[in-house]
Amino acid sequence: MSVHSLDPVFRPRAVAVVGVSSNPNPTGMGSFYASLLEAGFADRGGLYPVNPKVSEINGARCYPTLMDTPDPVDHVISQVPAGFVPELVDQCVAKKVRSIHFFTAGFSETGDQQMAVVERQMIEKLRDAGIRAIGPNCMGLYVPGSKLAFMGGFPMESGNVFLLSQSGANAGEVVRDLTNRGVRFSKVVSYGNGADLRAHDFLDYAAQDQESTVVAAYIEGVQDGRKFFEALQRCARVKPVIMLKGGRTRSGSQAAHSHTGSLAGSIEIFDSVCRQTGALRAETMDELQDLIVAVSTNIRQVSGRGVALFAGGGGGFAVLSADAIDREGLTVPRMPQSAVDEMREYIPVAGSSVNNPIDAFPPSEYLDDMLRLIATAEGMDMVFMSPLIDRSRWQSPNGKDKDSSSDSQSKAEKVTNLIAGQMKHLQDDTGTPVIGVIRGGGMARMMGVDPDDFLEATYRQGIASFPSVSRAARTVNQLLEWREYRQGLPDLS
Amino acid sequence: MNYESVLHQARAEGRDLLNEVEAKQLLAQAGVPVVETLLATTADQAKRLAREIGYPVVVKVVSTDISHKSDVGGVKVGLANAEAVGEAYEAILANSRQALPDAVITGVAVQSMAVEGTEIIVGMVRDPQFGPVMMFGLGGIFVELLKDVSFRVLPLTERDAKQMVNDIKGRAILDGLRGQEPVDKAAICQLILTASEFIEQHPEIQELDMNPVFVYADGAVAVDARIVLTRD
Repeated sequence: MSVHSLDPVFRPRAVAVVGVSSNPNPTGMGSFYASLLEAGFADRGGLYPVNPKVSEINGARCYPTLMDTPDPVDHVISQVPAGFVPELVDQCVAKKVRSIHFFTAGFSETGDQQMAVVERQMIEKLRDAGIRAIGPNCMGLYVPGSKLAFMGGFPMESGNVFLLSQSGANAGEVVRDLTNRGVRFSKVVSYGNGADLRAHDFLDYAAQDQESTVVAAYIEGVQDGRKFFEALQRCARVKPVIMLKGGRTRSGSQAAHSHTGSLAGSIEIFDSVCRQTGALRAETMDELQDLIVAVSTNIRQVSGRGVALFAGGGGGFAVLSADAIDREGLTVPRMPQSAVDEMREYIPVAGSSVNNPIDAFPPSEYLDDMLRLIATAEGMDMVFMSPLIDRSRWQSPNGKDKDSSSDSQSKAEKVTNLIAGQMKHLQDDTGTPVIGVIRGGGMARMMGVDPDDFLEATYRQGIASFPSVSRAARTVNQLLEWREYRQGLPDLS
Repeated sequence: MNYESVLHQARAEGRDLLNEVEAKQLLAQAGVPVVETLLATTADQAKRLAREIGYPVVVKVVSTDISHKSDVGGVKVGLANAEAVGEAYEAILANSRQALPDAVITGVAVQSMAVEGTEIIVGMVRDPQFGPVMMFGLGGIFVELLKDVSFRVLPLTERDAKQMVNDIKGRAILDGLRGQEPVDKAAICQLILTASEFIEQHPEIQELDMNPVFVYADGAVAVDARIVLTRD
């Protein structure tokens, strides 16, 4: 397999952090040295802090200039003020580095013509020397496989998601939120102003990167529209690509302009480009994250819009959930009479409904049979299931916990894993996609389930779970629409 | 009148805008179905062209300085014989000169009276980011009030053309509402694709607007067309 020209950018042998702060606190923005230490980069290759005013950081030598660091240095992170950047660029050329990431801001995004010129000149100089640049005005790289991280607390386990973001804070938020849901990343790039490397370069890389099976992007302004269009077209042919466009409104466009100097462009045309290229389109961070979860699990294979809703939580919740499902473009079909009759044998209790939505708590020994019946009933293309249905497994009829262990955390974990396993079993057994829904904290915790644990435990079993019924329904509907407009493109389900 | 000579003439006259007759003739040569439209510069020529085309005809003023032809009394429809065409010719010139004395008038266009169909629009706009983009929508109130249009970046594939026809919210109208016959969507797709190929071959086209296009149960035809060239 040929090596992509950007491959070295993602696998530096040594990194210098120039303009490092003397305070190695890995929290917050701009603590690159501390984040790299925490990520364990020093175990993998050279990690050199550079600051003429600091002699050592936590016992490690700090170098006065980039020229004083050992050879080779492949990647430079610039934290110096904009005024020092031209000098650093010259040093990078002399040092023969391969890439530079400018955390440094204050260039074209300020709207200052002169700084825009400075930005262009430094990029030209770097290009002439064969050095690629990320930024300015961005957070750079998080690549767990190479032990690169731009914030503290990111997991060092690699995953399948390539994330591309014009905003570093948004990238950080997606990483943190999705980490809690069990998702892991192959590569994350925050590229800010995109003075050299731009969305289309990264989309081209992601398209051929075998580690990345899902590509997601937060974009404020499209640079090089034709190249962007063609790169998106190539990438979306071969893997699911999810696009979140910032600056969809007049106010948002103004904000995007002062954030990354981006011209937001016509949103109608951007949306058309997504349909034309076969990319998924998200309108909010929640949608972006839900869609990443969805295409990374087997709900990509959902074949229709019929939902069997088995979510517990009472009749009123069932009604509101059915409304939410309908509103988002899915349906809650009636259970076939034969299935209703059969279920009535398990649940003779009055006051429960075995029609769809199913609002009933069957005796524990019948639960598996009943779930199978629901999942295989005619017209049910998927099952929405909440952990609340199975309380009899861990509660005795008098409401007391069966497990009297005092460690409530391990108990919650046990319960959560049990339910996640049950959902996976049902899905594998029937071939019907099972989708987890978990209501807000109070209700779940009362039942001994932590919502975050549930989202993560189910994802780890290949089950997509969502923090509400309407988010689950919305995501499935987006997937189905995506599949419809992808007709004529390679099948990715 | 081939593409190069039309372009040359427009440039020589310092025009970015092609007149209706020029635009339609170029589109017709490219294979886009348009209502046959010919230029007359005398009343006698108008009568002769009307007989060639076949009655009834429509006669309109041709001037790149006049964008709202009916507002100045520059359009006469349903003309059934030579006498009516001759009178219309004189009236149109008089009305236009009176309304806009400074307008340069090239002549009048004589065109066949198209059978009314479902009104659609097909056009091309240049997006500052993505370049040429095809646009499709239902005509009249749907495009003006509801902005119910779809876009696709050039070059277009057959899949793109089909999708843009089905992307609009008012697509039920094309499929036949209240017992109406469905319109010929394949003809719309073909028209979109032919127009997009024409644009790709001519990068100096800045904008194209076919409004309206009549679409029928069988076939479609552009009734009016406008082409803007990029500035020299």
